[in-house]
Amino acid sequence: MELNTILLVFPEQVVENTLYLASKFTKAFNSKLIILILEKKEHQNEETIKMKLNQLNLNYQLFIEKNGIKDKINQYVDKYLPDLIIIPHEKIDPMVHIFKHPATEKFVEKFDKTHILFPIIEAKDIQKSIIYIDPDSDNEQYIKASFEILSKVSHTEFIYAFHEEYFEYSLIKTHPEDEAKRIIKELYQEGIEKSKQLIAKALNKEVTLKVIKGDPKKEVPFFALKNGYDLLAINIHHEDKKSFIENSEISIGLFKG
Amino acid sequence: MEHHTLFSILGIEVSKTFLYWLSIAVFVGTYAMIILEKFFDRVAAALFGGALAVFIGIESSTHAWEAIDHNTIFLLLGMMIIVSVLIESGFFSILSIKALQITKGKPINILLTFTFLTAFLSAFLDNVTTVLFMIPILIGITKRLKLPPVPYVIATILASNIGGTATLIGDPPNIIIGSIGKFTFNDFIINLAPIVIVTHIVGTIVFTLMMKWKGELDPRITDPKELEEIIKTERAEFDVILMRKGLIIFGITIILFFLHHTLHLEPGTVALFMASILLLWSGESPEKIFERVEWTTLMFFIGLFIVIGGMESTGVFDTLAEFTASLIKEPLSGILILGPLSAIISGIVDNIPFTMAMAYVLADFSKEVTFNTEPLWWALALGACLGGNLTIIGASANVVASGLSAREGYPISFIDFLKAGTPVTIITVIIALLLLYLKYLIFGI
Repeated sequence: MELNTILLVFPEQVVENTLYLASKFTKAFNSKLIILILEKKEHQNEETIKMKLNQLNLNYQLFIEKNGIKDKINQYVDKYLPDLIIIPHEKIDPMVHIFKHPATEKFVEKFDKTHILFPIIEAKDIQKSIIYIDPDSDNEQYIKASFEILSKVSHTEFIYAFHEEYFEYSLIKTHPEDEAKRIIKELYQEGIEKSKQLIAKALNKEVTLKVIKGDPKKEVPFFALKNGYDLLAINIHHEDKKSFIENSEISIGLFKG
Repeated sequence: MEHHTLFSILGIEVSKTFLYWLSIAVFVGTYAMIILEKFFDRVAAALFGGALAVFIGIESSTHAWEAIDHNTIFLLLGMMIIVSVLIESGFFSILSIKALQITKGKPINILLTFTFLTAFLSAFLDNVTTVLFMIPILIGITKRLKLPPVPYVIATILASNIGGTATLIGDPPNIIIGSIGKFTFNDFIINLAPIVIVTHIVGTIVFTLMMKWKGELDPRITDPKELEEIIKTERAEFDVILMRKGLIIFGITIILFFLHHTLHLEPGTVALFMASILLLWSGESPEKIFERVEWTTLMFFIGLFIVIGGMESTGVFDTLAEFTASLIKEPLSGILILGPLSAIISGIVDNIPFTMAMAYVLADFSKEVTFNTEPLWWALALGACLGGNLTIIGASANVVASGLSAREGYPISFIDFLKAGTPVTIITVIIALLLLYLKYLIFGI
């Protein structure tokens, strides 16, 4: 997997942690870094930013634009065709999140042209990442892309969540209890097997697959947080993408399939 | 189709007087079975009593159906559904973590925060539901902090019953009083909420002093680093989208409760309608949500409504109203008679059947007398709700919470609860009734 161009977008101001994170990816993939700063309130000191970037010894181009996240990013995506976009975001308290829906989040939820890293501003590094796999909707391309990008900078594992309750409630209406339980057990095993096969096909090697039970959009972000992962990767086309983003208190990676 | 009853099948002619006494006997029998919880399940007892009343011909099945107060049932069901969705979203778990962070793990802060939070939430949610999510969280936190959970659990139960007294939807007795007495959500807020705020403060002071005296507020973890680590690692699962939807619907429901009188909509209609919108909007599986609904509580209500409907149809309440009228000559002294009486009875037996029976008596009594009976309704609400704190069987929330505590390995004995509940109940009932009395004395009726 090659990342020729990385577009790093700062929606308000330069976040040093994200800058270091982006530099890690840029160096790992020997990419060209396009930095776009969307000036909002404060005037960005271009010289200071350039000084920091020079210290990092990066191949970059810097652009400072007037605010307008959606249009500007699309404009730069069309012009530079980046393979990865990095946009930092503020970790929002879940209680505050109920009432607050930041523009960056809205953008990321709608955007699906290329891979996106959506790191929290506190994240300086990604040491442990976990890729969520839904064997019914994910494909080999998604697994390959997400793993090859993330494993180059972090220890990467996969996770599959079996939504047992969902099957329980639907099967209990149509089947006797014992039969429903048997089918659920089979579906559980089938889900694990399908996930393993999909990973094996995509990567040609064995990797760790964590298996949990519960509603994926709720349980997977919780598992990732509880177990010290720095980033959770999901498919950019996943139907519950918005929920995964809003329910995660860690960085998110959205990868194209 | 002609409805047959046991007596008509047996060819026995029964007089109205016989049915009158029979309805009392069924009521007393049902009540006795409810009290004797060791031998009978109270829900089964209530349903049996209701079915028996129809079976032996005290009332027809049509009358039994009409005797069920649909407003009460719809209100409880609707609120239980909305709260179930909020529980599912993780809202209350986050709230408890916030509480832990705010309290910084200090026992006194935990006690004050949880009792305040419980009292506040109980004002807007049914008490049973409030304790259902607060108790497990509280036990979890106290266990992590190596504190004895039982006194904290009891304090939370007491706060739940006090807080629930403030609004129409806070406690089942209030739902019944609001529905039978035709009081609005705002009537409860205006007449009871200020009194309840003072009562809660006084009750909290009493309980805090008691716990302090027993050394139950002494911290068990003294190392600040260890404490900080516990607070930092506490996490919750949540679903922001579901939380957002749940809170929007909950907020609109509360606004509609405030406006229900102007809109001529019963609170039960509002609650059930909003709950159904939430079910449609959230996309959550109804089976999952309905698992959290306290169906047994709803069935308990239905059974009791039928039993009491039997007494209503045979004219027992007319007699009781006449008797009450001979006892209560004017509303102010009535507060001092009815309030303590309600508190004592509610403390001994579950306050739901008592309130239900008493509300019907008051409704008939209001027709008998020329003065405004409104103060008596509030005295009944204060007595029944606050009196529920007297014993472990005084209110449904007590039974549910003690069951939860026992399941977690911390059973609450009847005596332990009584020791804590009695002083708090006596003081809070006296304060509340005194404030109610003074309010009418100063501002008039």
